[in-house]
Amino acid sequence: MMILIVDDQPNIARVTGVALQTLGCQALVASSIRAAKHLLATEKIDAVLLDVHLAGESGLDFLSELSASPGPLPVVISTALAGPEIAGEARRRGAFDCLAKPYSLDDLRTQIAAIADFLHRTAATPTAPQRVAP
Amino acid sequence: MSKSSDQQLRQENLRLKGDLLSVARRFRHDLLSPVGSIQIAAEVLAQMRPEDTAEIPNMAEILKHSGGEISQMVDRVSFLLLASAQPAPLVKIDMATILTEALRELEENIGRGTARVQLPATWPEVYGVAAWLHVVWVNLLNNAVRHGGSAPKIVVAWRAEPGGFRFSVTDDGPGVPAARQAALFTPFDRLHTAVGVGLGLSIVERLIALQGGRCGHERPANGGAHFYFTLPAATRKTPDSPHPP
Repeated sequence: MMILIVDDQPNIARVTGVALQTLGCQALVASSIRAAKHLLATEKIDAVLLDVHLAGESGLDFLSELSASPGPLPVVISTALAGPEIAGEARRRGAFDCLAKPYSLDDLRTQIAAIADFLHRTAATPTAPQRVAP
Repeated sequence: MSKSSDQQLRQENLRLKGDLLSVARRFRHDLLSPVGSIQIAAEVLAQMRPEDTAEIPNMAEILKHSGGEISQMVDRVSFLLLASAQPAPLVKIDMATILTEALRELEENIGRGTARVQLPATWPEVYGVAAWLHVVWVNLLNNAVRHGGSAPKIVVAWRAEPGGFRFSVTDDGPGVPAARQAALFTPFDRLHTAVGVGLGLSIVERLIALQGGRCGHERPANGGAHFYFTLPAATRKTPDSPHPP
């Protein structure tokens, strides 16, 4: 599974990429929405791990864009400001799930399993809901 | 208690509450990324098999950088809060020496980016707090080096204006996007309400306000970015309470 990490903090993006690799995934990193859009257009991405607060950009607005695009693309929101308001807003905009920073390897493992299960079910039943986790 | 004293106390109270919120929300948010990096790097290392040594240098570098990030963030915010809580007296400033020290601190960044810095030949007589002005110059010059494009030309200048002097840092880079200009100098006590705004210029804003000055940004007619701060004409006194909310 190829995961796109969208985070403007280079260390957390890099270490998350390595962590995902240890969990059996491949990872690409984008530090801006523009870079993320380029990778989404040129690479086969299975899921996105998207930081809510990118420098000068709104991760939530980008989430809305991704949710409006065709195809099953689970987007997990990550934020250090996790709380009911952010989580609720993210789900309203189509987030697959929310991950509070700092997250652990186990948190990532849980997300990967949920995403893999979702993609498997979506592939098996094409008419099933495209984005939002049950 | 007089009306103006009461109003001053209210403003001070609002500012302090804003500072607390900024530390509780924004500072906490900014710290949790490098903390998270350290935690995950440690977990990855713990689960590493003896034969998987290729990632060890990468993880070690991340641990080192993240630790450095945390240390720097704590230093910057504690410096600002100390300055706010314990206003220092204004003394006559040797601006040439302060600039020299600031440039020395940025030597590695300036050299790496092949930036050229032009300094004025003379400096006006101003009063301020040397340590605070050092931080102000480091922030403004570092921004110019980082955001001024490749091999930026950076011009440090000053001019007299009614009541004091205006000091500036101008670069010939791509400039600040219009959408971000209004929030550039978000006061620290309002930083908790601002998204995607850097800490550095908020620190500059507070330190200059504590010395009776103000900060601003303009877009030069021929492009680039022009950041400035003012300092009042020399008066030997302890600074007043910081800016109103």
